[in-house]
Amino acid sequence: MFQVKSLNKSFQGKTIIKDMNLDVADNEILSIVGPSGAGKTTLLRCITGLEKADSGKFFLDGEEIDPTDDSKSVIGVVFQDFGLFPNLTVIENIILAPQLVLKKSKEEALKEAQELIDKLDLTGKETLYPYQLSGGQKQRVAIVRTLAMHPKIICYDEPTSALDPKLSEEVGKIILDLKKQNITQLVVTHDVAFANQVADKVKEVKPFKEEG
Amino acid sequence: MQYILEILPSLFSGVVTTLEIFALTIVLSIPLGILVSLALTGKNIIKAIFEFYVWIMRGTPLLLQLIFIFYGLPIIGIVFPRFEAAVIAFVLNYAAYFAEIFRGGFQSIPKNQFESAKMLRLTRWQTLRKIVIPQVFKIVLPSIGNEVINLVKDSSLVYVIGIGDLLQAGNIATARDVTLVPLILVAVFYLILTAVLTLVLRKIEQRFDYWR
Repeated sequence: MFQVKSLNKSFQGKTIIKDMNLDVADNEILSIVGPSGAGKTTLLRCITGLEKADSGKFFLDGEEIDPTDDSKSVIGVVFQDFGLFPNLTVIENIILAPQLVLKKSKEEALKEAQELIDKLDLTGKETLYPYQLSGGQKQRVAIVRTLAMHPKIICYDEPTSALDPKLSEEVGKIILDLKKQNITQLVVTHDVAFANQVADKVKEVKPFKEEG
Repeated sequence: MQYILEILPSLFSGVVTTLEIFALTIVLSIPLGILVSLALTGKNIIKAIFEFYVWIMRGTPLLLQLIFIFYGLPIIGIVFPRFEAAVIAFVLNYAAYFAEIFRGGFQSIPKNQFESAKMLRLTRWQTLRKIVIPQVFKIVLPSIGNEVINLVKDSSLVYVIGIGDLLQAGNIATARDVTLVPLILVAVFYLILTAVLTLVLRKIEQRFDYWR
């Protein structure tokens, strides 16, 4: 169970998120939908700790967590532009953090990576560099890279924005498939059809308007 | 032909001096430049100090800096031997240019690289070493190459503090024997040096062509 309680965030006096609450059960997929400028991405950045919330609390299974504390983060992100490292091959992108951060042996990291690669239909792409991949492949590498860190929660920022409809459906399948693995998923999207395809719950956010 | 063979030994010993200054400057000023570039992206006072340093080094002639260090500083009791004075002047001057090049390189790394690394919980040093520096290196190579070529020719400025480099060797021969041949030979030597360096730099750039 992942909870956000009374989250507030403003930039230079402009309120973006006002008193937001979220509840996501284990294995659940929550879609956060809304128009541009509604604060979807800001919400995601607060949850992932890339942006510090002005106030508000985050709880995982009842325990308060601090997303900005890198040392024990349990949250993974798949960025809109994927954020792959262009100087590393697919396999190097995936095993870098497991080796350096989780201190896995190379063999172990490779073995785990290969399983995920095969599962997400990236077999044969291991030694390619990101520029040699299509958008959908890059995204799957980004998902595998995130999974390899064993997060409890995965956040997706606009996962379909760079994909055609057929690929959107595929990534939807991947997200649904990951439900089986005890992972809570948050999907930020403006694509309502996609949200309905994957989500157990949909949270709508609207641009905040100052009252009065 | 006979004449050329007669003056070649003195020109060769000039080339050796030129190459010594060149090699020492490169080996010392590139690492120094990287450190300064990190300071330039740092906090207020440190940043201000190094911006001042870069301003002085790029804002005054290298020739003046050479004269200042070798002829000027002894007036206040700081004496360097000729060769050391030349190397100090060149290293300080070129490190400033390299620092600006590396600063530009660091700034052109997209923000998503840092954010991806943060979400994978890589430390700052791991991020620099595995992701940022390899990318910066590729970005700055052409500019570094430019400076390297410049340095070969700038090294001729050391004649002003009486160091017997290639140019001085040619100059002496021309003055003594009243012929253009030594100066033409000097030009040929410089052309060979810069041609070789251009080739080497191109090879290095090609080696980094495996990713984009």
